[in-house]
Amino acid sequence: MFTYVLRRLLLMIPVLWGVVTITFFLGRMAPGDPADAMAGQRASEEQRQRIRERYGFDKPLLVQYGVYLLNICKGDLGISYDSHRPVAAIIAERFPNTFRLAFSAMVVAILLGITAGLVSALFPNTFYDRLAMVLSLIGISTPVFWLGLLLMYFVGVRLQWLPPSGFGDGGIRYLILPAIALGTQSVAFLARMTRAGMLEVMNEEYLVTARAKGMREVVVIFKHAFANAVIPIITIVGLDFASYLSGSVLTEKVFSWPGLGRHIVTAIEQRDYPLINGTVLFFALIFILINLIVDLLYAYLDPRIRYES
Amino acid sequence: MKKNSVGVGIVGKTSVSLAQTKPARRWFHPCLFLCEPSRRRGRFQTCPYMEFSSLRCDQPILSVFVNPHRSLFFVFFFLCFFLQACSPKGKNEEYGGAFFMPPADKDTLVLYDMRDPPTLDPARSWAVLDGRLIGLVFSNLVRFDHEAEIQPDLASVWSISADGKQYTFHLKPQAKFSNGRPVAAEDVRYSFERILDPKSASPSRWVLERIKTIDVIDPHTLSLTLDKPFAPFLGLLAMPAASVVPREEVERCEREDIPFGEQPIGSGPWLFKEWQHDQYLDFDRNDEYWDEKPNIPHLRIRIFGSPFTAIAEFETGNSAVIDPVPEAEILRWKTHPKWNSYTALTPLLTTDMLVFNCKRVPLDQIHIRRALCQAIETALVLECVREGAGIVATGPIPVGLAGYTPDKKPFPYNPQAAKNVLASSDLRNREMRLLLPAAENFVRSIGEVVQAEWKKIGLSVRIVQVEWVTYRRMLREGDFDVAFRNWFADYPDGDNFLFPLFHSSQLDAGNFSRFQDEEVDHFIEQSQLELNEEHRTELLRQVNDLIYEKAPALFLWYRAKYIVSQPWLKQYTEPLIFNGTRFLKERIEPPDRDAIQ
Amino acid sequence: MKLPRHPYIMVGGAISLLLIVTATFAPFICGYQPDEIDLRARYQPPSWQHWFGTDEVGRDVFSRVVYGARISLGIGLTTRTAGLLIGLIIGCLSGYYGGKTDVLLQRIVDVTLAFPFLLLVISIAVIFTEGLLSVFIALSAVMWAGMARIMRSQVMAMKEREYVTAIKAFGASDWRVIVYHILPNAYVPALIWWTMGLAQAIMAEAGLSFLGLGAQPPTPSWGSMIHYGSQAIRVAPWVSLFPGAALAVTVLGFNLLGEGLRDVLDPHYKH
Repeated sequence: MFTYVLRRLLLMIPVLWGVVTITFFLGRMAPGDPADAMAGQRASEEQRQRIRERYGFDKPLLVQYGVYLLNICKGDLGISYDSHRPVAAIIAERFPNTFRLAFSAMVVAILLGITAGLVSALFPNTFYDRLAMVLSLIGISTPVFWLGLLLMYFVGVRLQWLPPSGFGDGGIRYLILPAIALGTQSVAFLARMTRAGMLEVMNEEYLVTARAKGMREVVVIFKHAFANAVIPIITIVGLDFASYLSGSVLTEKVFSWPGLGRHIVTAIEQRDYPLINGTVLFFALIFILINLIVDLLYAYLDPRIRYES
Repeated sequence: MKKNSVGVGIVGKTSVSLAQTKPARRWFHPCLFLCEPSRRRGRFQTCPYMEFSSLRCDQPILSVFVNPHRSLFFVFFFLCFFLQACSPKGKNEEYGGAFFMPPADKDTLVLYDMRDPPTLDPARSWAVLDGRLIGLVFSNLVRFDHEAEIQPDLASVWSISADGKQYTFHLKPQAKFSNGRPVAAEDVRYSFERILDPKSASPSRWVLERIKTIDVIDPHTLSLTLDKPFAPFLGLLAMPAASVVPREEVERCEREDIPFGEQPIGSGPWLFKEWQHDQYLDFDRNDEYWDEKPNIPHLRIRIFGSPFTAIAEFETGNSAVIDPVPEAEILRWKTHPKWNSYTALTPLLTTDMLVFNCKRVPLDQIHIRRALCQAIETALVLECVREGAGIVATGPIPVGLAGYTPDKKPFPYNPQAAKNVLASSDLRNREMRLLLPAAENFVRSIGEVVQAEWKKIGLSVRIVQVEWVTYRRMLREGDFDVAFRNWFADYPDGDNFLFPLFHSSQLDAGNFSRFQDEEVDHFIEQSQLELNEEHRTELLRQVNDLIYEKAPALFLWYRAKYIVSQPWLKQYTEPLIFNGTRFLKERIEPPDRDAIQ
Repeated sequence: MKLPRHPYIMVGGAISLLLIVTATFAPFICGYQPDEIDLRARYQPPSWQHWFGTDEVGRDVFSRVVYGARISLGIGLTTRTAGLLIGLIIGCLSGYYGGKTDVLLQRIVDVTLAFPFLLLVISIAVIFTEGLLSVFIALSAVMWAGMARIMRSQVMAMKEREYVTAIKAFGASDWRVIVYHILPNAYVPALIWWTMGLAQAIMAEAGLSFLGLGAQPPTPSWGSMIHYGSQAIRVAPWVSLFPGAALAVTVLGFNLLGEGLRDVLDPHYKH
């Protein structure tokens, strides 16, 4: 186990290198010139050239790449073209906010999704099953900004129970609406995976045996049936959590949440290369770590899965 | 299937009684649910669909009540009903779906922007977004007032030499930076040189480029010499880039490796306090300010992610204005019986246009371009696409500036004539590319309307909408036939709409239509040198008309915008130019309900 | 054969069929052209002339929704299927073989997932010119990775089951084991994944049209109608509500179909 983890951690290095390289070159391939974003509409070619020199993107691409790679090895992610602040500081400032939102959204998704899935699986083909399914499908086919707007309008403006938007003092009141809006996106998938996974085994012999042994139904359901659905659930939770952690632009926009999503979009729009590269590198790190944790959970939850080192 | 439990049955009964006392049609149909009551009552009063749908919707509700099997549906609808019904009427007054709310904090003026400004450092700023905020913290030699007239700021008096090349400024001795040090002429020189220094690669270098020498005569006297006269020069000095910064603070930031734009210190009426990126910027009143101080102690600029957010925050009293009202919402606020008196239309020094690529055959011919202009009914497009927020353009120079010709008529709408002119041109044989930036919704609508109108005269147009930086590059490289473009005044002078956009020396800078015309060039140059105001206005007017006739662009309109302000916000007026206000006069007075009703 | 009798299949199948028929025969269904502008009839509420009302430049929303089905369904179905196939293959290989193959393939998945969609798409826009092909490539290039992760986990759990071990002991080839013995037991998440992501794929197309990819104005697509229309959600909700409802019905239809198929094909399922 330990060697497996160690090996996976070592393997991060080539992956991160790959991410840096691809981001670097893909970013430069994108049309548009950062000098256009940094200089006004009135800037002359001479002016743009001066900006290019100042930020070093007049040099050959490979030289820029080498310099960038060297700086990363030294732990320096560079300075944002747009705000002139260190990239690492910007990420460090945003990530806790993103994490709060992602985590709360995931909690909402898990609570609602697994409940709906359980209801569906325990009463298959009944009204409740269909209701759970239709509701969760409505959840997934409602564009996130609609749901956000509705929540903002009814809960924030009409009822005035919660602030309509913003980060405020960082209190939980500001978190609830965006978390619901975002989390709803994952509910349907989780619910259906739970249902499918549980239905697969509901009539299996071992459950019948367990029941025959006089086990309480609750134990049967949670310990035996649910365990069968848990692998795909964990996979989805892992995937969605990781994607929430890389920012959720629309939710952040509607609720004016100061997260990574809004900021990476601005960075891409402005062709702020150091910020783009640094953030993507950080995302890659998150994805790798979460995938590792998910892989370890597989083995922990399903003893049949083994990782040979 | 399980039979429904007793508990649900009880909920059912309660709701039946509620449903009997209150008609359910208000909230049931999703359209009605979202549509503002004012809208329903006013414009769409006679809409048959609404009546129809609301009638139709009553029936399934009853069937839900009757059928106990559907208890869950029932709980869901009860929830909807509950949400609708329990709006706390005591806290806010509802007038047809819009709310009058007291200010959340009566010591803070809360305004907003839609994007986090990139910087507050005058040397790095070029956009309207940050320029507006830089004006709060810093002072210039001169500044704009609300009407975009030049007013003294750091300089109390100034004189201009007869040849128009030398400007001498006398600084106010009481002017102080917020760190306590008096502002000296040396600071002005330092600030200007900081921008002019090629090493700083400041995007706003063009603002001060005309200055040949900066001479500090004594600590409170300064003279600027230009290489040749430039009539609107004082306007340049009121721009954000010409703000005066304290040298020691800039150098301290450099030493500590903090961008100066993150901790700006100047000599303006507001002190920069805190900047939470993508959340808000906080400013405090500068109590040591050497001139008229703001009335409100605190100013907060929030950063909202979407226009809806701005409206929701306004409706909860958390922000003082809606600025601007999105096009789709204009009618709702403008025609609202209570809100209409707080909704104002303010002109902007902005010209919206569709530039032609004059280097491309056959758009290089004047009569072809004019024919294209004639095929668009600009007034109708303005009315529909922007809800009439603007004035039909008759040239690049907008209303409010010298050079605008008030009684000039736009090209007559004549698609048949246009069709005849274009019949023989090879425009009909190829697809034209209409370049649009991914900006506000109305830009896309302009594209769609123009495409449809030109289709009527037999042209095929392909819309290419791309994100902002790509758009800028395509404009610059001429990768378009026609492109949407708008131009905000940097300084309130007609020249700002002529020289950068249509002078042949600006081909690599702002002249994206690639328009080259010796006559126009000559007039523009003359108007820059002319010092007599009357003669100059005449020159500007001439060149403005000339450009309109030669049609390097289809001039659409001079933009205006709708702003809604809270009833408790007094003395708030939108300035003509973006940095024309420093929020000095505004006051917040607790809401007076009698006045509202 | 009781396949068509299953209520989910009947309802879902009917919806899906209806949508495909609508998209195919759009010109026969609509009374208006989808790009027919009438500036004097803007924001008309639903009526007998305009069933779904009109939008901000007076176009018939019903026609736009019907024509929009072509692009939205087309993009949704093709990108999901392409993503499914790629993800299925990579997921199976990764989960079944484990070891070095797994490590290598999963690192590719990591890179793909970590990549910001927007940047990828902007870059793809340069390589391929405007048009639906680039949308297809951009969306497929992003969508397969999630599938690969899910499939891998499923295969990993399956291959350790006794029956697979037994079959392997009998000397069945890897290919045979995967195709005949693992996939039939592991396809459920794939099916769910396919139907689940339709909404995202259709909405993502809207995002792409801002970048100059895909359906440029005035071509109707549900995603862009919802996006642009939502600005008027409080004054003219029908502009975005009806394409939104079309999207919801599509998602519902295909999901019901998928769920029905799952129920019927599942060997454990009993009526």
